[in-house]
Amino acid sequence: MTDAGWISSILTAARPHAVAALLRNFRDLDLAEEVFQEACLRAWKTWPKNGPPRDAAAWLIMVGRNVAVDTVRRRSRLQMLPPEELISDLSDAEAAVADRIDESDYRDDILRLLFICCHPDLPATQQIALALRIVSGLSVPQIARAFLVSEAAMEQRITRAKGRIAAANVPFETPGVAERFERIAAVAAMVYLVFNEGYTTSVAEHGARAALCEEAIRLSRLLLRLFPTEPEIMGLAALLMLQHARAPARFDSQGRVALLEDQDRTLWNRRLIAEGLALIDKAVRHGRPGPYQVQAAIAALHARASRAEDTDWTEIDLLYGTLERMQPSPIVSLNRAIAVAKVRGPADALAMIEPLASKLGGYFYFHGARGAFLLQLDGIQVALDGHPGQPVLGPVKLVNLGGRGIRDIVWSPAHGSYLIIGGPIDDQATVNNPGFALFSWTGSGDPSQVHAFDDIIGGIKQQFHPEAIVPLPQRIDGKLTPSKEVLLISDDGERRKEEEGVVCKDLPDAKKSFRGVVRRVN
Amino acid sequence: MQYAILCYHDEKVTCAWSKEHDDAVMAKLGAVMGRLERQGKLGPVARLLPTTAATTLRQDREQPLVIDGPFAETKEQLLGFYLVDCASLEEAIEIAKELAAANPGGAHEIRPVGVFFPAKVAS
Repeated sequence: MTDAGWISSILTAARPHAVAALLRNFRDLDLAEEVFQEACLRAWKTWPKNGPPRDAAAWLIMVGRNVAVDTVRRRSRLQMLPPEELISDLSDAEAAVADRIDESDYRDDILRLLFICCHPDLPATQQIALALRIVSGLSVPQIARAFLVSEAAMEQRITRAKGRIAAANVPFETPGVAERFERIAAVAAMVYLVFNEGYTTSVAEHGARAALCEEAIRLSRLLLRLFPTEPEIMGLAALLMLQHARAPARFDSQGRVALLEDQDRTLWNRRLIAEGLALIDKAVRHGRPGPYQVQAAIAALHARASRAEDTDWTEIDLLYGTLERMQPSPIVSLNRAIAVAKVRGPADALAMIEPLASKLGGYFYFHGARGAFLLQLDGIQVALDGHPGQPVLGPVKLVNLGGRGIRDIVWSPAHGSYLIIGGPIDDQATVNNPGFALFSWTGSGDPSQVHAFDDIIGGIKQQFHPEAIVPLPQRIDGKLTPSKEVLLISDDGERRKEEEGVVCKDLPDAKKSFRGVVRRVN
Repeated sequence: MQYAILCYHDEKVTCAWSKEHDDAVMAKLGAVMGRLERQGKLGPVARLLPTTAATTLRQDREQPLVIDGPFAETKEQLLGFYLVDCASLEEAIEIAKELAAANPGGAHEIRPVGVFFPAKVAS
């Protein structure tokens, strides 16, 4: 291994221990960080020659303390310390420090360091940024990249967070048992926030943000080493590992989100799954369930199913029921409804989520799930109102538009049929993009039988995204009557207007425009 | 003569490896193992998951005791290992209890395997 490889691995591993101990010494976050950086610089100078010390964290703490003394001496212009090479072989001195600091000291030190980062005065985004900077040691540009913000903005966010911490009252005494558990819970929540920050739904952002998920897993392992018999910490680590194991399968080749049911399970990270399963197995033996363990157990059931249809939905339903009691939330109930739909059918699932409508009305996935349950139901009208004599919806019909989705559908009296604009499911897709096309459908008979009009839309050469179709009337003998002409209207939001240099939707309202063309459809 | 080669490393450091670094180490090991395998000198190889995933069955008292984590005291040394394929941790603990009953005293660490290469050695 190269010097750079092993030294940076050791420094990364020792960082939380060393910074946490230095913080206890100086009670000043900036100073602790500064002297740790200096100690690292000295490590880079001396370790390649002398090899790594027996206890890297102890070495860094000792050198860090010397640096602080050194700084004070320099400031008072007394004398310089001896050259670094002379004090670089610290094996004896370091052993003494190592003996005095055992894991349990580190435990409260590191917990304090993490706890400071999730200080209740800090908004979530600042907590995460601070933890990544101070505990994980990520650089400001690295964190900025993961958050998709500029370096200057991130620098400011971290400085502001540090300012708030300095103004707040940070507890330095050793915590009591109850306090320690409170801190563990707060820190676990913060680690979960870091993970969620990295769990995005866009492939474009996935690369940069996945680093946050990996960092969260690293933090959960750190917590696990400090509290190796805490079942909720095992659950947290297992949950993160089992979720992140699916990352390689979360997007399909066209960059679209692949639902759990549709994922290629051979792409899942087996080693992370093995570790996550081992941890949740261990946790369950303690008989002290908690929300992280329950969520991990649910993730474990998905991980254990080699095919989507092998999933144990009955058990998942029970686990969500447990989670609902521990941590009541409409989102948990919504997730449970998905399991209920699999076990007891869509009608039960619909009945379950009906009371959630007021709370989750603005939540995209609520409508998605509700729509999916309705589609599974035969006799859809019963679910909608249940009153006889009301307008009813018939069974769902699938029209074959050659892999396209419906952008607009309208009844055209002159044609005696519906006209449908079919468009790609994803406009941005570069592979297998079927483009836009115009169809007609009688509305009865075999719904898969539609007629496609060639070249009505395909003949338009410029970038044209028809999203609306309007049958136009004609005037015959002074009377408006239906015609076979239609107006096609393009969504030009993404179109760059050359004279303006920006896309249409970014222009001031007065300059926004769209195009329409009139075509005769025979 | 067959030898067991037991790998010891600081977990804090190996867990701090980036995925690229881990992959690079595994690739280099793969090259060495490939050569040994072709020479018929390689037996089963397992890479164990971190000790945080381990469980230990202590049987130095009347009732065997199942505890979290690895067996940390250094007065006992690793004398060998069994590789078993189980459906659950419970089953692995049951097997460990049987092994412990046949070979009383000390402890058995139940450590999940991360990567496994089956035996290829000419015996």
